[in-house]
Amino acid sequence: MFGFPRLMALLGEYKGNMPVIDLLLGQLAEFTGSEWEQEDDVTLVTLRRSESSGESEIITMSTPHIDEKPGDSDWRVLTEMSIASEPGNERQAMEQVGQAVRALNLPERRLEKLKTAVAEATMNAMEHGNKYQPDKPVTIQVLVSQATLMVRIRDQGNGKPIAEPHTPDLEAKLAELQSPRGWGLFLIKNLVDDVHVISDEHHHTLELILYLEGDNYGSKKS
Amino acid sequence: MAAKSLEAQVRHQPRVAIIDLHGEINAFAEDVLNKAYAEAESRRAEVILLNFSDVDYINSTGIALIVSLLARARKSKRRLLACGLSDHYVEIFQITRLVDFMSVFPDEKSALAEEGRASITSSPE
Repeated sequence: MFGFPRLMALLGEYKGNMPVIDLLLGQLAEFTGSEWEQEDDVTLVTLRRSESSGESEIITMSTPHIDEKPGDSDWRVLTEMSIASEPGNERQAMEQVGQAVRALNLPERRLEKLKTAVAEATMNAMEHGNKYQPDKPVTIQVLVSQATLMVRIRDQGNGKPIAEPHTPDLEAKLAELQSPRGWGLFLIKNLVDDVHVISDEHHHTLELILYLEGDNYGSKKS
Repeated sequence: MAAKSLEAQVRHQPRVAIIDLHGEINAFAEDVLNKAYAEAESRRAEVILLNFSDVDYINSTGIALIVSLLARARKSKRRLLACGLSDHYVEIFQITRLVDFMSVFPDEKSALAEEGRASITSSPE
């Protein structure tokens, strides 16, 4: 059992260099290993005392934290990881997610698409959310239910919501009327079956969804 | 996993310059790609062929670099071709519509053969 003594020791050693919830989820994932089958939700609550106004702020995060769909009541965490926000580290994320979902036997092309979407979302999180500050990691959870695979990618960017993905204007880019960049979210949207974008004042979270069965299976053709 | 840097070599043939790319096309690739392209242009090649057969990763920043090369080629009335992409990256080129502006071939041989046919067709009689 992970247990209260371990929890108290971790909190006692906590140096404040990353969100405490991310630290604890990472430690829990390390403790259980990737083969563990989660039987119930894990809910963590942190209270932060504000020095300036005396107000308390409550941040909650539960895992799973998903709008449940039919067949999605049995989410299982395949793996969780924390990626330092340094250029190039999206490769590490995509390979680790690829390893974690290997047992699902996704068709090769579908797996490649998922890995590219994970890399792009991780890159966005490191660059735009965490401004490539290595001490601000990107956290990634891979969850699966009977019908759905979800990769949840979270940064520590605050305030500004993530823009809705739009179709880049290639003609304008080729005419050098627009920056050649701006492909990340568009690619993500086109590579997975569904994308949920969640922003709050502390984090941006992208949930990349692949349907494993049913009418929506492979809606972005494998 | 450390990012692999990009290496590029340029081979010149009559009318065509071939850029052999090795490694990853990401933000770190910009200088190498631009230098290789400048070298390819230097002998007034009409066609520049990007050979991706030893490239195993292209991210969205890499796509932006390719868009920049394509813009440069169009400005100087050169044709930019691609060969050797994996099926996955052919699909990425389709999603981004790069295939609408640059012909994509399975390998160098088929790209050069098609280019040879195109040059005969367009030659003045």
